[in-house]
Amino acid sequence: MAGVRVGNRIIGTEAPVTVGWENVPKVQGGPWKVAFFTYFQPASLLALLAFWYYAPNSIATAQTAIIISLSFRAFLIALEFMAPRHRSWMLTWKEAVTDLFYVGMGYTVVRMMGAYLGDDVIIEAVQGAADWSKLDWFAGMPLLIQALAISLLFDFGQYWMHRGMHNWYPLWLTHAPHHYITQLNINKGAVGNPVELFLIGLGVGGFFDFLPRAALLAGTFGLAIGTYQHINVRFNTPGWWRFLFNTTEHHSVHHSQDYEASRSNYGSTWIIFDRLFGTCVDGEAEKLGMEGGRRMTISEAMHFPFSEGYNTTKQWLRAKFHKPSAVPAE
Amino acid sequence: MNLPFIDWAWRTRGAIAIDPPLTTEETFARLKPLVDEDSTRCDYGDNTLTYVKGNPAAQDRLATFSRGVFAVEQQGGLTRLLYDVKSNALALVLLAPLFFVGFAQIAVAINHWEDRKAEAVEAKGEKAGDEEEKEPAPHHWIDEALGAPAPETLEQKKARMEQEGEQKKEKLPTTPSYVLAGLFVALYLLGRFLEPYLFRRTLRRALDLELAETADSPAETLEPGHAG
Repeated sequence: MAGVRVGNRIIGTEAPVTVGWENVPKVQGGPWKVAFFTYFQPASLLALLAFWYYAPNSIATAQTAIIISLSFRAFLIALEFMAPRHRSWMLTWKEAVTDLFYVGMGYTVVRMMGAYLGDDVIIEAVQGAADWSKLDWFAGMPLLIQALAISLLFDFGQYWMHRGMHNWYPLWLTHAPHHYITQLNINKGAVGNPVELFLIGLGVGGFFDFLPRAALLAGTFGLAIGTYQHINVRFNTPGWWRFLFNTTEHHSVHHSQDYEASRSNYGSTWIIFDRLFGTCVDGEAEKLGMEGGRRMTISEAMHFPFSEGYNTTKQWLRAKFHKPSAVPAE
Repeated sequence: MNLPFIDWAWRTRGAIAIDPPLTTEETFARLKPLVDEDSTRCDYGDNTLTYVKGNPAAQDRLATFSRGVFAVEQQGGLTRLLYDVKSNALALVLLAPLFFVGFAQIAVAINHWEDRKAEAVEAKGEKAGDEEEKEPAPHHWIDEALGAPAPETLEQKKARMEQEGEQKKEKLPTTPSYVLAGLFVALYLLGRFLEPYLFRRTLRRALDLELAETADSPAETLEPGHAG
């Protein structure tokens, strides 16, 4: 495969990747259909931001956020069935239950790890050791500025953690199972080893004191933007959105079977950090996964970082200490 | 493993009449697109085909019923395809609620232990648990001008929580585990009825040679910007 030059890199030599927005297909159909798939994303983002900005305190609660999040995701799953981006990514019953199991791990095992080892615990220990209080000035800023700052700060951390996972072998071992997904669907973000999901969830937000409403607004950025990175729906996403935010197109390139393409688009909600640090590739891919698209089983995903790490260490030690004996020359 | 009294939970059996009749070889040739994958092991007998899919791809048409036996029966000039297949996925989804209910029980035990620990600290006269909640900062003047509701004072929050009967926050919430267990029960029921229907429909389409037409679509024509 010839590949396409993007900066210093050649993308798409190992698997098909479409590079450049001008080459990405657009939604075809009647005016209502085109209008829906063009304006749905910005309209729902604005509607949700307005809701959280103006909702009375009795409604602006974490419980409402959970109800909205579940309803929104259920609607997007329905949309995947109505307007799939690729038929080869259709959600089957088996894929749905597999994804749900990983979602369940996130709500149980990963949450337990977070409760005892997570960022809140680490930050509390740091604050206690250094006798720091929370940064109160943060809560005095306008709500939307607080929300933007929370979202950007978290995403900045995620960007570097994710990039680290692709560049440092011990971290890669935890992240590799996530790259064995062969299609994108709403819940695929939860697919992976619990250690990775724990690591990617670490943030520094706990150092700041912010208003609960700002946190709910920041959560909306994740829900109404970040969720689309794993969706099997084609949108006529506006250019400004694609410039600022991560999209399913960007993330499909990241999950491509092409190695060089997979080392791009590390952002979660925002793509601007990739643009800033030179890792952004605008485009899309359909053939996803590792090892030619081998589907990793749940049991393998659970032990992969440990078994693979053990095997690699064993090989490394063998190579270091058991050098092949010299063959005497005839 | 044979579990004859309960294996109906993940096993499906049936027969499909083939009209016009086919020979055994012709029948199996039509099923080939379903079992002709790298990950499928096939054993052909006189009139049987046993298949095992070690790790089927996400879009494999037999991904759910990943092992089983097909048999061709010729009787009175009629051909019937008999199938007897099993699904590891259905069996695991049936067990999944136990996993999440079990996890909820672990969470209950941990929460109980945390409460006991907090009580012991309080009994010693030390301050227990979370730091004291502070009054929230007032809104910025921009938010006031735009009409965002003012932050809830601690008194208002207390009154609301009393009115809504909100419970004390647990260290590890158990509700998600129970909800997930319920979802897996619902998904099991859906799969137990939907998947055998889809499996049968797939077999019919294979026997009617409809799958060959919908097989892998031809490669995209390469255009500028496409790497491939």
